[in-house]
Amino acid sequence: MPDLPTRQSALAQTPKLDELIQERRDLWIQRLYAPDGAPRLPLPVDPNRAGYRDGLHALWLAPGEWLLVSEGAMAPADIGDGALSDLSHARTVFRIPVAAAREILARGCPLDLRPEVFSPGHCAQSVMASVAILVHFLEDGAHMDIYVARSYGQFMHAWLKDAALSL
Amino acid sequence: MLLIPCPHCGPRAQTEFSYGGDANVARPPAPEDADGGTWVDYLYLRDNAKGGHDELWQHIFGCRRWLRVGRDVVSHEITSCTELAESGA
Repeated sequence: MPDLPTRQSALAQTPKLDELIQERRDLWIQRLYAPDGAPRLPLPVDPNRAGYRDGLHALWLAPGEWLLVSEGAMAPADIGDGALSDLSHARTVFRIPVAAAREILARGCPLDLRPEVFSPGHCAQSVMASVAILVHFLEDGAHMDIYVARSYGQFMHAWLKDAALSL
Repeated sequence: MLLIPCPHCGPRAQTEFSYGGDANVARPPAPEDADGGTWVDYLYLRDNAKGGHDELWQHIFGCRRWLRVGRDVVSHEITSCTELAESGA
């Protein structure tokens, strides 16, 4: 007689992809153009770095350009002289645990993500599966956030899950 | 695959860049007076010499800046990479 209670599911080894790749919803996302900086914001001056203060992330994009991300809206007065474009509805953001994120990104993105090069508080723009992405290694050291244009969100979700199958 | 040392983002793969052609092609100084031959020269004819070239590349998947890249087209060695706005061209 088969030993039913101990028989393992045939799907037991399949990664639980919906837990692994989570979507971050309801974010406040703005592109800030401020060639002279904005002293009241935690803007990193060095390329490929992210600043954080009081719930606000500032991700370096280009000289004088940052992506501001927070879980709640900020008052416009806090932003100084910069010009803001609201991208809250224009991005899809995925959150992936860091070890899995390294493996998944390695399957389609040319970024050097080795721990000695890409560490917590770093961010980088690149390309994956022909789609422009922004990778943010969160300050907690446990997760990476991947930003894509919203119109590529579904495609990127399918692509990430497919890449995660071989983890 | 080239590894292009973007002055802002650091060394990045060629797939993040878009090639913009020869960096030293000068537009005809008096376009309204230029004849057909001058335009053909400006738009299409390139020397394609062996050795060092100055090229335009845009870091489209990174900082989106236009760069002036010095590259040897035989060895693929990249000798310089500067922001175009700062190179005076």
